[in-house]
Formats: sequence, structure tokens, C-alpha cells
Amino acid sequence: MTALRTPRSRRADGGLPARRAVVRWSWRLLRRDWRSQILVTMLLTTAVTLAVCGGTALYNAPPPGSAHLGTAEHRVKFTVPDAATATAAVTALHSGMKTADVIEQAFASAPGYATPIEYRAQNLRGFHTGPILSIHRGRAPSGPSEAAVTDGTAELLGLRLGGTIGLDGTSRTIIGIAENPADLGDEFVLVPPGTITPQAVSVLYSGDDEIRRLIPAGISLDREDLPTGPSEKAVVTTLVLGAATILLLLVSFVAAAGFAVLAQRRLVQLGMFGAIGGTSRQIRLVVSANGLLVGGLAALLGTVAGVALWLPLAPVMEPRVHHRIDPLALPWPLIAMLAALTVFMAAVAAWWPARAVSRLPVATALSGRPPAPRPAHRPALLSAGLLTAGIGCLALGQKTDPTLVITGTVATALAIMFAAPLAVSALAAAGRSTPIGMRLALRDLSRHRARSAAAVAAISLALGIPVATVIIATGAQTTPATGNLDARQLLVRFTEPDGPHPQDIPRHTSQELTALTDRVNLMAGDLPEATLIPLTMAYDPAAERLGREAPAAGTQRAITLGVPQGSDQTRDVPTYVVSPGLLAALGVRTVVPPTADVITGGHGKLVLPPYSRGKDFEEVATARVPMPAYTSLPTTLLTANTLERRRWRTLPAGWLISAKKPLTGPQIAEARKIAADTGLNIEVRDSQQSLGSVRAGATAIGCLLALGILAMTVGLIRSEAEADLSTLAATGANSRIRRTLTATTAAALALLGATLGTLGATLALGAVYRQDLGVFTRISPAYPMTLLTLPLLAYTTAWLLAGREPPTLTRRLSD
Amino acid sequence: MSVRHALLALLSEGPKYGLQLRQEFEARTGEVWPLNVGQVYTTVQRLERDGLVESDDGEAPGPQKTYQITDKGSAELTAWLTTPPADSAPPRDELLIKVLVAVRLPGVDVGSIVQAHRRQLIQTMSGYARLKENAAEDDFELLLVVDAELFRLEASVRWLDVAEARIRDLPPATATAAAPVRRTARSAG
Amino acid sequence: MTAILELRDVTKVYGSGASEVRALVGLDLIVRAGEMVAVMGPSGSGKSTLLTIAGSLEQPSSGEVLIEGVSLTGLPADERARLRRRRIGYVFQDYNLLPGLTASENISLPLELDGMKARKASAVARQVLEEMDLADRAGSFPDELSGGQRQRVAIGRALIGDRRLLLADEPSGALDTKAGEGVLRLLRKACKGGAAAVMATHDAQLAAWADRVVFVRDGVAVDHTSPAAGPESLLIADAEPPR
Repeated sequence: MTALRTPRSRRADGGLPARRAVVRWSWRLLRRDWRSQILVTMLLTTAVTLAVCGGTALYNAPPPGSAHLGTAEHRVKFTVPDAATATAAVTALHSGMKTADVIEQAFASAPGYATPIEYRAQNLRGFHTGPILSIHRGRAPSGPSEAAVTDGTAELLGLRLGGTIGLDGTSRTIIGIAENPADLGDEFVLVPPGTITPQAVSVLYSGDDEIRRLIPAGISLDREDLPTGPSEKAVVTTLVLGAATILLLLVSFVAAAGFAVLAQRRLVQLGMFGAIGGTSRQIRLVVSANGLLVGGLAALLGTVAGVALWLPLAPVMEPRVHHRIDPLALPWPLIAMLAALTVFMAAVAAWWPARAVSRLPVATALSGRPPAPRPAHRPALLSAGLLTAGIGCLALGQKTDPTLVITGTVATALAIMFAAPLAVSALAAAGRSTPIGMRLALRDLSRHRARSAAAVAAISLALGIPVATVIIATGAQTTPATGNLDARQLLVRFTEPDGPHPQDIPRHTSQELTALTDRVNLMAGDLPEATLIPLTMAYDPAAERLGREAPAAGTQRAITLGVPQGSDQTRDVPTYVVSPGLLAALGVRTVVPPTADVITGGHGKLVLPPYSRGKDFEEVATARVPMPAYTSLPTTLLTANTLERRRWRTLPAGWLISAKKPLTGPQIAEARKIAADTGLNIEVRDSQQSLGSVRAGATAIGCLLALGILAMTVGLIRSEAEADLSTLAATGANSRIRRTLTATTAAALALLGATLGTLGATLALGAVYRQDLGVFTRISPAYPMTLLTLPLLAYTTAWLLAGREPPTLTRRLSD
Repeated sequence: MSVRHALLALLSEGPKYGLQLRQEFEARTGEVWPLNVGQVYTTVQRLERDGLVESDDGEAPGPQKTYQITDKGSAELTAWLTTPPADSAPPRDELLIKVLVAVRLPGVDVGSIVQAHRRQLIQTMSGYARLKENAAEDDFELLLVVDAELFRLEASVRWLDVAEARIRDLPPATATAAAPVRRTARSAG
Repeated sequence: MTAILELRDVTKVYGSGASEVRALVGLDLIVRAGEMVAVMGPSGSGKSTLLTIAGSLEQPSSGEVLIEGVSLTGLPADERARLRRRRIGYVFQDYNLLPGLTASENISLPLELDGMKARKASAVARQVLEEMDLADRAGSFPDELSGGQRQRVAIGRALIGDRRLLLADEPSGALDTKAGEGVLRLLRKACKGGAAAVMATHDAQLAAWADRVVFVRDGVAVDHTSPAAGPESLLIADAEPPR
């Protein structure tokens, strides 16, 4: 026993120097046959790139802090009754609070516009306003005859630098374009302090100043404080990490298959290593260090690529998220976590094959005989089980339960991957009687199932994700979307909805009404295949008798329902009178119950406000039907039944114009011009989000990704088979056979990937949209066509590229 | 190898005494081929008779007598070097005869006979290998001779291997004695 | 002389039932320090299995293996690995060196795996390379070396440190006779230095280099030679050399 006593380290694994030697060998091996690891590295790199770029975009999507607070802790806003009070308050605030920003605001209406234009008098270099006010072009206004406008205002009113603006009665030269970097949708006219008569005042300050003391009593203060609790960024970070984990989990399954193939190829070397005296732990380390190194490389490349992709993306994103983005303000902790996650996932992916190899007896490993390929039916059974579970979860999850949806998505994706081996051998079986070139290529795929199944799984995932995106985007386009109106709609009204008396509808003579109708018809005539739906409201001819506050001169007060807010307050809901045309335009097909007073697409309880103070709300019989959720669309409608019962009458209130296609900028400008001429008010969709471009983009990115993976896999598989190719060439095969081999490999992988990916995504989303399968019929045929052309494209490209003679016929692959 | 031509080769380098011839012959053949003096003188006398060498005088043969090669001798040496060796006739190998006899002899275990020959051959080879191991690197004459012997012996061993394999494949009726090899020894060192 | 390797009644059976293969049957073998033993037999005779079992790469189905008097039976896998790092050197016919490591790194790997610092191990490896006459190829990768050089590096790796047992499986199989002779000279030299060597081969030329040749047929040791006779006995007294 003495001879065995340990002269050096007592540890059986040789400690740090041994680990270093093992990692060094692993690194050299990686460097030696990096070609075989391109697939896995690229896959991981792509995942990191997407995660870093997407994560950074999401992280920067919410506005930085508050769009109104700047760096201040509090904002107090109050309206002032008259100019004298305003001046006094502003003076008092200036002298009482040294480090506060006092912003004076006045509102002037512009002809033809629903919302009044805000004049904002404030210092460019305030104490807290750095993040919320800047001059984009030109310079800041410095005198009473100068102003800067936001580009939105300039576009709205047709202004340009050097022009003039005089909505408030004072003509000012526009010498700059201003903006609120935290909210690009914040439209205003910037003037120097003290040059307007303020109607409202906002004070930005930090600390505990006794602001109440400085403001005359009786004025109510509207206060905004820095929000406490978890910030939106923290939520985004968590979401991004969660999504990236799922993505990397899927990728690491493919990576594990890749590492298994690699470990198999290095079996003899690992056996040799064991014979020299490497412990099983050290053998495990060789394989998992390879995973770590690949993961590290992918994390590094992916981070660089993600940031590189983000830099040009940031300016494109700004108009969509309505605030300025500093491209260099990268969420480093998030990126670091993503990188760490990648390395971890790659290590986990390598650990599994590492464990399998280290458990083999050294003598078996030395013989280099691969263990018999596992039968394909076991993963296929697993796949079926996972698919059932995944689809069940998705069907139960109903788009609302995130846990079920995520579980279902992961299970379905795993099901696709486990179905790959069966698909590969099925294809090989199907191709049994094809010509020799094709047969050989298909049999090779089946023979090296571990490798080709991993490739098919990767391609399926790459294609499954865009397929899902296309379906979801299609579904989202017809389901209630956010915003005020659909991009194809135009709402024409007689009154300003945000004005002081939106429910006082001007009375028109029949001639006036005819003239107006002509103008609106003209407006609609410019739009593609527009339908014009007249909107009417109701009024109570007896109301004035009941002693209610009189409406403005020349107007008729329309009946407006309200949603109760507290004990005696209501929030007005624009209320129209039902008409068949309107119901059709809203897509309402349900039969309205005859007892209902009102039908609505909203959720709140509706009441009829009392005519005079002290009386109670009157409940109304409400029928709720599904309607689009656009906020400005007339979705609260009085029924003919209630009009008749209450003896109310109708009066014209405007039109809803629906076009076949989204309205373009020039069309909107033309409509605005007509509206301004006639004193009408128009409203169009205020934010444009094109889901069409999302769909096209997803399909393009998915196809590119799939083609990339395909190219790498085909290259890998064919280079592995180079020895076979040499034998073939020696037996007299010409370049035609070589081309057929490569092209068939590519096309087969593409076909299987496209089929499995589409099938998985369709089944999963079929479960999600099972009550609205019409979504699938609305998908543009261009997308399935694109997927079908993929195998064809793969075949052609591979055919064209593969004609080259192998470099040397006798060259053997490095072991 | 012929002593006659070896002596001619030595004389082609220049005139030599009889004693010198013997010493150099032994050195050149790796000292595994001892030659007695009488053999040297008989051979040289025959060479002189055939006119292939000539001596400096007509004295009787002795250690001090010097010989040198004639033109005819040089021609004979060159011709001999390129002539194929004479052992191309079918071998009348003793080993072959023994194995052939053993196969037909009832009650004889051919396997053990083959193994006995193999063991002896390898033991002989071991001796040569040891010789090679101890030889100086530049003693190439010795190495060539030893290699020749080793290859010759190895050929016999390989022939035995093939013979054994063939005998194994014989149907039992023809080879009564070709029973499977018995375990004959335990190597316990 | 102490026994470095001892196999006691070792049997190895692969598979079971109809596909059962008895690779070794009740084999006994003792190899002492300084001794070189050749195991000779046709392919499939079990000589490679003998080596893998002697080298602790495989466990016998029955019987016992002792290395320097220590039984391998029941020794944990990590301890066996340590034994291979410190006491047993392997030389295989082919695929001897780890690709990706230089000649010097290949030689020093067992030392590094055993916890020696890279620099120190590299110095030892350099010394070994000098002994092997390969000092100028220290930084070469295996695929830049000739077959003979590769095999010499493999022997260097098998000899580095305090190795007691050298196991060689057709160590010059892929080499020409001259290069193969160089490999065997190195093995003999190692044995003179006190190591024990076991070489599996089917080649009589190689086996002749051993002190003792054990003949294996169908997993059974059927015969063996006695230690080689001295060279003197070859110098046959009569005039004609053996023909």
C-alpha cells in the first residue's frame, strides 16, 4: 500500500492545475474543430442577439420615469380663474420656492381641431425640466414675439421654421422646434415665461415646500408624485429574463444534441484521456468546458451583435414609443444577466452528454464504437404526450393565464423537437425507392439521426416562431385593439369632444345640413371605398321645461349617459342613437333585446344623470354586446325603444366614415382642411401601429434564421460525409450526384423543419383561438406560400453551390 | 554467401596478407561467421589457380604472403554481385517435413508440435534481438546479419501461424491429430 | 525482484447467453520489475483484453489483479484513475496522442492531471523529450509529427513520472521495422530502469525483444518461453552460418 501513497495532492482529481490542463485541452479541441460547433454557437449567438436587442428595446420602450415630472419629485397643477390671480400666484411661487420650475399654460383652439393647442411658458434650463424639454432644431424663443413649436403641432397646423403662429391673438415667429424627449406625443407651443396670460400653472419641485401657502385658497390642486414601488423597468427586466430563459431553454435542447454528437465523435480521444488517468469528473469537465466555452463565445458575440443591432434600431423606435431614446443608455445589468444565462444554459446543455460519456467504461470508449442509435419511437411517444399536454394547457390558458400559456408553449416546442427523429426516419423510409443520390442523402440523415434531428428541431423552432407571430398578428388585427379609432376610420362631429360643452349640439337648418352633408361626402369621396354612416344623438324636448341649466345659444343639449363616479358624480359617455348602418359598421350581429334602453360595448354601469341637482341617477336597462374597443368609436347607443318610450327626439351629430384601407397622411390633411373650412371636428387614429409590418418582418426574420441554420447544418452534415463523397467520386460519381446529395439534404431538412414548425405553431394557436378559427382564413396566402417555397429554395441554392470538387479525394477528416 | 567472393571483395580494396584477410572477414560479417585460417588459405589458393588473384611471389602460402586481385577477379566479383542467389530451388525444409508428417500421424497433437517449434524459433529470435540490443549503433555489418537471421526466423514463425490456422480448419476426419490446442503451460514466471 | 503486475486466475466474459464471448479464461501472469513480457497470439486471442484489465481500464469478471501488491478489486474509479496517472503507462498502436495538445503537453498531461503546476510539468516533459531525442519537436502538434515520432512521444508520456508498469498494445504496429525497433529499444531501456513492461503483439520480431513470451490462444495462456539465451550461444562453432 505504501507504493500508492500520494506524493502530491491528496485529491483524486488533481485540483486546480489538473482542471486548468483539462480546460486548456478542451479549448484546443474547440479551436481545432470549430467547424463542427458553428451550428451550436450560431444558434446560441442568435438567441443572445435577439434577447439583448429585444431586451434593450423593451427596456427602453416605457418612458423614462414620468413624462411630466422631469427630475422633480412632485408636480402640482392648478387652473386659475383669471389673469390677475394667475400673475399673483406665479410671482408668489417664483419668490417663495427658489428651486421650483413654474410652468404657465394657456390653451387656444385651432379651427377644425378637437383638442386645443397648449401654449407653454417655461424656462428652457429649468431646475427639473432637463429630461422633459429640449429644443430639437433651431433655438429657444427669447422674446414675446418668438415661439418654438413641437413637430407634431407644426405638422398639425402646417407650420414651419420661420413661419408665424397667432392662435392666442399674439403673432409670434417660429424660431425652433421644441419637444418633450420623455413624451414625443406631448404637443405644445413653447414661449418665454411671462409672455402669455396663463389659464393653468404647473409647479415642479422636490422636497417638502409649503406650496399650499403660496396659492390662493379655493383653488384645487392636481398633484402628481414620483411613483413608488417596482418601476416599470424592473418589470420589463423580469419579463425579458423570463422570455430569454424560455428561448435559451429551447435552443439549449438543440445544443445538447449538438454536444452529444461532438462527444460521440471524440469518444476515442476521451477514452485515451481516461487511459492516461483522467477521472470521470475530468472527462465530464472536458465536454462541459466545451459547452462553457461555446456559451461564453456565443454570449460575447451575441452581446456585440445585439448592441450593434440595437444602435440603428433606437432612432426607428423613438416615434413608436413617443419618447427620445439614448441608444448608449444600455441596460448593462440586464445584458450581463442575459450573457450569464447563456453561459449557464450552454453548460447545462453540455452537461448531459458529458455525463453520458463519463459513465462509459474506458475500454468501450477506446473502441470508439458508438452506442446503437436509440429507436425513434420513444421520443415520438414523448412528443405526442408533450403535444397533448401543451395544447391542453394552451386551450385552458385562454390567452389570459400566463403560467398555462408559457407551460403550453414550452411543451409544444419540446414536442416539435422530440418529433424530429421520427420525421427524419419517416422521410428516409419514404425515399427508399428514389434515385441513388437522393436515397443516399436521406439515408445519411436517418443514420446520423442525433445530428439531423437536432437540425430539424432548430429549423422547426426558427420557423415556428414566425408562424405563430403571423397568426397572432392576424388575430390581433381584428380583435379589439387599443387606441381611439381604427386606422381606416374617420369620425366627423359638430362639436369638440374635449371642449367645454361637448353635448351641446349646434342646431342646423335643413339647408345648412344639406351643405354640410355635401362637404362630408366630398371628404369621403377622397378616401378609398369609404362608407358614410350618419350619427345621430337624442334630446329631450321637455328638458328645458324641467328647469335644467340652459344649453348654449343655438345648440341643443344631447342626452348623455354617464358612468357613476362616487356618490353624485358621473363621467359622461358620448351617447348616440342606434342605427342599422352603425351596428353593421361595428360588426354587431346579435339581436338587440326589445326591452333594452341602451346597448353598449363598454363595461361600466350606465346611468341617466338627473336633470336637476339633488335627484338620483336613473338606472337604464343595458344590453352588452361585443364591439371594438376603440375609445372614440360610438359604442353606447340608445335604442329606438327607449326613444319612443321617453318621447325623445333625434338630431344629427356627425358621421362615421369607414374606408377599406388605412388613411394616409395626405388624405387626413385634406379631410382636415375641409373640416376647418366648414367648422366641423374630425378625429382619426392618433397612433399608427402597423401589424402588417410585424407579420412581414417576423416571416422574413424567421425564414432568414431558418435558412442560416439550414445552411450551417447542411454544410456540417455534408462535410462530415466527405469521406463517403470521396469513395463515391472514386467509384465514378460525377458532380451531378454531389449536387443531388447536398441539395436533397438541404431540401429534406427545410421540408421537415417547415412542416413541423408550421404544424406545431398551427396546432398550438388553433387551441388558443379555438373559438375564433376564422383567424386562419384571414391569413394572407403569401405566408404559407413563402414557407412552401423554402424547401425549393434550399434545393436550388444547394444544387448551385455544391458542384465543387471536394478539395482532395484522399483527405480524411481529422479524428 | 560464398567465402570465395567475400575474399575477392576484401582484396578489391587493395593487396592484403592472408591473416589480415581472415580478421577483416570476421569483422565484416559481424563476427557471427568464424573462419579458420586453413579455410582462408585453401580458398585463396583456388582463387590464384583460377587466375582471379595473384601473389607477389611464388613462395609457399604463409601469414606474410600478400595477395592482390586481378582484372579477371574484379570482373568475376562484379558478375557475382548481380547474380541472383542460388537458393531458388523448392525448399526441402525440415520443419515443413516434420509438420507434414505430424498431421498424418495418429495420436500426435499437431498443435503442440507447432507450438514447440514456434517457441524454439522465438527463443532463438530473442537471442538475436538481444544481440541487436547490445550492438553498437554503427556496427551495421552485425545489424544486417542479425536482421537477415531475424527475418528468416520470422518467416518460419509466420509459416507456422498459417499452418496452424489451416490445420484448424481441416475437417476432423482428415486431421485426427489436429485437436484444439490444449493448455500446456501456465506462465507463472 | 518485486512483482509489479500480478494476474490471478483472471477471467473476462463479454455479453451473455448466445452472444457470450470468453475473452480470457483463468489467466495467471506475474511480471516483475525490470522484466519485459510479450503476450503473443493471433487477433481475437484475448491479448488486448489482458492489457485493458491489467491497466485497470476494465474489471475482470472473476479473478484478481494486483499492481505493486495492491488489489484492484473494489478500488473506486477515481483511485484507479490515479493509479493510471502515477503508475501505469499506456502505449497503443494508433491514436496515441491527444490532438490539440503539443508533444510536450501530451507528455506532461499525466503530471498535470495529478496536480503538478503546468510550468514544472512542462520542464519534466522537456527532459523526457530530450531523452527521446525529440527536444526540437516539443511544440509540435501530433498531426505534425511522423508516425515514429508520435510513438516516441507516446512512450515518453507512458514513462513520465514514477511509472512502474508499461502496457503496450502493438506499439510499433503502424511503423516500419526501423522505427519500430526504436520504439522497442525505448521500452527495453525503461525496463532496465526498473519498470515492468507487458506488450501485446502478434509479431514475432517484436515479441523477440521481450525477456519472456507468453503465448495466448482463445483467452488461455498455452505456452511461454524461458528467459532469452545469451548471444554467445548463437555463435555456432562450425564454419557455416545457420541456413
